[in-house]
Amino acid sequence: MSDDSELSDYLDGRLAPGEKAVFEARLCRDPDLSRRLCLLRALRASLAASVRPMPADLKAALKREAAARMARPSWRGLLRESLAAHRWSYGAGAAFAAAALVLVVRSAVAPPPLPAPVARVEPRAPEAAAPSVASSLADLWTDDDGGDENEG
Amino acid sequence: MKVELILSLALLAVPATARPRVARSLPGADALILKALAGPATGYRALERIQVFRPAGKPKAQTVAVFARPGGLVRREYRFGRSKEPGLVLVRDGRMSRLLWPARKRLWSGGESVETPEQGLARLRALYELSVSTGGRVAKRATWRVDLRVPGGRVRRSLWLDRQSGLLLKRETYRPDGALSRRERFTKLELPADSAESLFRLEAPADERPADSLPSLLPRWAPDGFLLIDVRSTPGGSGKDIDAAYSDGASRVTLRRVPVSEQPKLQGKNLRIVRLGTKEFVISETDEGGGLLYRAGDRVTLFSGDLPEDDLVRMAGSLEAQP
Repeated sequence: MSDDSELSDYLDGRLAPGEKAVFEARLCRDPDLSRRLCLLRALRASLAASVRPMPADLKAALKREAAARMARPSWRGLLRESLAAHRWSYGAGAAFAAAALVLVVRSAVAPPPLPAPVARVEPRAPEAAAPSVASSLADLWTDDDGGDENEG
Repeated sequence: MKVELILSLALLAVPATARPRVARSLPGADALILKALAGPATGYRALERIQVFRPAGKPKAQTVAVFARPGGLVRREYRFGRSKEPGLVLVRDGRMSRLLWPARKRLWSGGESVETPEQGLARLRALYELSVSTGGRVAKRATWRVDLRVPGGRVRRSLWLDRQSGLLLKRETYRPDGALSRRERFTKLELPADSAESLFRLEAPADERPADSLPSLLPRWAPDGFLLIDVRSTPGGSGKDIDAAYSDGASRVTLRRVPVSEQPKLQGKNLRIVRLGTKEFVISETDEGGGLLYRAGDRVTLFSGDLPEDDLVRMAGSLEAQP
């Protein structure tokens, strides 16, 4: 594992107890490693300096949106589930009744209203090529064999 | 007499230029890089082939005609497929860059972030260890090869520099897993060669839409051939935060500028901190290429994409300081 990976894992608390002890012993012996740890710690601290707790109304809005976007089972899925749950000895009549029940239940449940989509504001002045241009840029490229003209 | 004649003839048969083999020492990497970044003393014309190797799918290639005059004036014509007409034309003069898309009647122009050869070398030195070896022949010219290695010894870029002029003739870029990601190579070169000054003046199409200047939130430098393909303000950012994407049609890099409080997470491994002057960058290696986090004031910009770290650092370093 590279020093940088170990430094990150140490700060994140991901080192096993034995590995942590070995790494801390290295820190005592290696001033450069210790300095790099301090720098990385300071950088992370400065990035976290002004963290604000999530506003309560925003949290509630996110929960509503997540609930609304949960996949609703299709009527086929519900039928399948109910057929699997009911034994064949009930007969076809029971299966049809279950399907009918599903259809009734589905139509009776009103889905919760979706929140308004978050607006993305297009900037006034940016000089950006349109998305279709991105695909046009791909026309600048052709399939290739990947070979190199080796002149020796 | 006969013996003397035979001896004389034998001596004359030895090539006049023959000399005993002398072990040559390799030139210093710094001197080679400075010479390459300064550019050759004469103009040149070249045909360049760029190949991109994706982890999945066939390699892709494009052809670029390059015209250069001393002093950093360069014109690059990107061809669409087999068409002889340029699809895109880029002209740089070291201070300004202009990009013309004839088919769409669009002309973009803007001031560039200027980097001296010394600053370019410092950027590479901050990121890599440099080593020199003999290169083969590229465009029929003998070269020196300079390898740029990340900490740990893995080669990230290899450069083939013309021994005579210092011109960069070939460059290979490797992904963190060691696979070849991109190759840029001159297949034909005329050096020296003169090109008319008029070639470096881009005329705007008659019915061209006026191009707005780039917002100051965007980098003042991008690699040759990369266009800004998307930019949006993020909501709640007071116009100070953006999502943007650049592409050359085969490779792509995105950037996201957010408040420091949002704590964007830098993906990838082998994180390290690199300092360049007063600027500090956090760099990572990703499967596709690299990631970079750069803080300026109360904003953090996160770069991610197919580019190696020296290009990402140059893009990030060209961001203007925001009040």
